[in-house]
Amino acid sequence: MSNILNIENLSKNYKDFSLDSVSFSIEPGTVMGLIGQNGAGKTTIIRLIMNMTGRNGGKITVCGLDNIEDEIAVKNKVGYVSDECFLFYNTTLAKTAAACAMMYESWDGEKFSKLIKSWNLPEKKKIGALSKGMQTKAMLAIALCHKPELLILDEPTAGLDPVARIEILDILREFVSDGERSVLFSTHITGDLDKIADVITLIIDGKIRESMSIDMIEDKYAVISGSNDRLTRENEKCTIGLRRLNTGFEALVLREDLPKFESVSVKNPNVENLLTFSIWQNGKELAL
Amino acid sequence: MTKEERKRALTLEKISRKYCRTGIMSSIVFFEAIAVFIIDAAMFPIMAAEDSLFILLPFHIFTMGFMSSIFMIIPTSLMGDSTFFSSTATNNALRLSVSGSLTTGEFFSTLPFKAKDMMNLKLINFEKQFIVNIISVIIIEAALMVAESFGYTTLIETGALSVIALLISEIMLMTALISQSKYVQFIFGGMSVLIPFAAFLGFAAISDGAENSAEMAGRFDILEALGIFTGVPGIVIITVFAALIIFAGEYFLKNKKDVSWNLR
Repeated sequence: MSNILNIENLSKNYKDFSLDSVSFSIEPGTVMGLIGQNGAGKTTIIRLIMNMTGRNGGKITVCGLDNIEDEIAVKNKVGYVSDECFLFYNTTLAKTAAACAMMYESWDGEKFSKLIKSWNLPEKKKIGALSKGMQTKAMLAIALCHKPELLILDEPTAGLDPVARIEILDILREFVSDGERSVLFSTHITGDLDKIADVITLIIDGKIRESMSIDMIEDKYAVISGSNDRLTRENEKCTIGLRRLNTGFEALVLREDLPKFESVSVKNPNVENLLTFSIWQNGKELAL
Repeated sequence: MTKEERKRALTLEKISRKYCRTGIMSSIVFFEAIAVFIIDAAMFPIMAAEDSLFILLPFHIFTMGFMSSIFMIIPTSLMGDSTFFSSTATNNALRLSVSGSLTTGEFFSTLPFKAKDMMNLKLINFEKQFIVNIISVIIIEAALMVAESFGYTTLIETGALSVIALLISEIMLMTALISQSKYVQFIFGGMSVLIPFAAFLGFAAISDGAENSAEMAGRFDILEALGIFTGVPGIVIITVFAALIIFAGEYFLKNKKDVSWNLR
């Protein structure tokens, strides 16, 4: 089965930031987490996929269709949820859904009714009067009900309470359970990705640093910690990211480099470790 | 609503054809013409006593600019909200378009619409506006000729400056559409609406300063070159110029690849 999303050598230049030859793909039935620090380029990538902004180079295909040439077909296959509500504020959810139903090739009105009922979303209330969590659920309900094959979510759980976050994660897990649909999920909350992501794509300063299955993170990397005297000039060069404290150091290393470090504690890394240590690539001194 | 119960999904082209077609354009032009004549009828008795008809003409500019702006807003809004006309909800389309205007681009970019189709729709609206401009110039020139036939003094330069103002606004609008630069779009798109108002202020200043024949004669000398933009030549100029700008816009859009919604 072909990839749901293919991005090849994508580039975008801003005045003080550039996306540099970004390439990755998403297989069917996969939740991909897109992680990176603030301003790394996560939202830029998503907005380029949605053709919200023009690109300077590269190619994007969704289900084999070019995202610009076949934009209408692509948008029928993509459900999008933004970190900020893009729905009309002065209209109700019912009216918005009724309008959207006429614009998509497929629309599941029954599913929409079930979703808003189970999420207690007030149909007759203006969208601007809803809480942030409800607005996110409103966007998600509309995104889910036109039967997309790819869900793209840009920081959807930011600002949500834990219950709402868990509910959304459950929906995403169910969405990919048929093995044919996929999710691209950009977030800072790496704990969410630990729960549902299959693949992680790490972007740092506009460049893809890593794109791998979440299981492979533990196979490839390790987090080590020890006293500062365990660090030498030689083995320090092998650290991917390093954090020094007065009491000792912590570092992310490749497992194959573990023999270069003596008398250190080793633990399996999680998504947060991968992100934070990649940002601390040049070492971080913490005066604590 | 299932797919079987609904006809084919609405496209931008269908919506624009349904709600931005000649009927709406004609009705807005008619409304503009009525507004112009009403203002003229109201102002004539006041201005005729002082034989200062040229002061009247800035109101043509004002009306024309205002109506052109309205003409831009209404079809675009109706295009966006035509689905709400057809929905089971109550008809709040215009109010919705005003409140949703800030998020319109973002919302539409998430729906199955093509960015190039939206650009084409804007171009179509511009083309209609340019036709409205030509009709407005004809109305202005006709009003001038009628006034002259009744023996009133008219300042031909006001007609000329109105043509120039329209030409500048058309260039700005098309540049704002074609350019992918946010700065150009922001500046030109906003200023193009203000051009007619700026012309009105300029005319008011001219009319305030030209209080006697000698002064007016002096000003006529300075502005004599503008005569080419009045009367039939003025109408021909704006028609040809508008056609050229439209052709440039159509050519650009036809050959433009990778059109995006050009949002933030």
